[in-house]
Amino acid sequence: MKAKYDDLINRFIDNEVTTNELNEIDNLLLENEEFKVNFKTHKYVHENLYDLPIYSAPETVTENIMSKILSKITVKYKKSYFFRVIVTSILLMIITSLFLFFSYLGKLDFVQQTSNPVEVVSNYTKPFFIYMYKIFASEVFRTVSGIAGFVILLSFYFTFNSFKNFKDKLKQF
Amino acid sequence: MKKLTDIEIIESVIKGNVNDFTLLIDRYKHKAFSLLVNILKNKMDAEEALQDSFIKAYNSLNTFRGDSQFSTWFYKIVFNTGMTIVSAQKRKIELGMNSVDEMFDLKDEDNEVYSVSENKKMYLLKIVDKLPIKNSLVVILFYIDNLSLKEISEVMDLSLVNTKVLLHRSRNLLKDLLIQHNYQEEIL
Repeated sequence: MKAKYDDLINRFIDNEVTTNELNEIDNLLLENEEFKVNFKTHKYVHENLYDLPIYSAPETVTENIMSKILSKITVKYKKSYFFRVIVTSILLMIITSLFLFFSYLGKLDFVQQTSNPVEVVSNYTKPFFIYMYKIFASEVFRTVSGIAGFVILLSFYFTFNSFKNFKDKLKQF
Repeated sequence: MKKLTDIEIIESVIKGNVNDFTLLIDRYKHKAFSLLVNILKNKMDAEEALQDSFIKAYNSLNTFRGDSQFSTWFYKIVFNTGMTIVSAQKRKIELGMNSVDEMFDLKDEDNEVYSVSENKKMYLLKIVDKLPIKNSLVVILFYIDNLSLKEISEVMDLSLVNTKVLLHRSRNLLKDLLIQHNYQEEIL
């Protein structure tokens, strides 16, 4: 019986009772002392639970969370900045070294008859070097390297720009 | 000044105004902290979990689709963060729906709370903390955070029926405890 009363009272509190059940509750409140005690106490519990205390979060919590979030953004920006500079520099160095290397080798006069092992190797690789020299001296290569240079300059610009945006965002805070 | 809605704040943060996230933190920190104190029974752990929860929420903000309210979505993160810590600490916890069917034994805690409570209201508000985690959480989410039963079921990953059973049993238990201590005489 207690379980039935509890269920009825809970449904009353949740506004889920039918008109018949509402009448039943009215009658029980008049006739049944045990039900009345349960009902009133249940209602008291329901009404007073709204006053449950809310614990205050520590004052510095907002600051701490934002500093953690911002530090992650900082790391992200720094990584992006660092990565772009390194890749751009390495690309520039590789292109310049290749250009100088093949230009120099292509111009060399190779010895025809020799017993020097280095010169022998040079003679075998000479056609390759001449071929590469021709590529580097060609209009196509100059156009491609020009475009590559432009892209590199552009990446420098974006690198600088992202760093500037990052600094601006830092200033906002 | 117009108060921004949660969705407006989220859109602003996603657009790059990271600073606006403080509005969400300030709006939910106290209630989320209360929830975590209740789960972890320790303010220091709760503070750490609170920070983790907000950082997780910030990192997942792009995945928030707005199907449910931000509060429901965020409390789910808070609940999962808290429960993960509890599990890691290997405390005695009630996982799954077993807790709904289990009987409570609050004897020691009840005596402790009763002895320090000056009146019935103080007793009632204190004994909630001593209920099994899921029972006290459902009470807090319903009465403090004003979540509906459907929202609570989403946060706690329970069915709607089980959530309702949990809330009813928690209320029944609290009522029985008040009667057990003869507080009903004052109430009547």
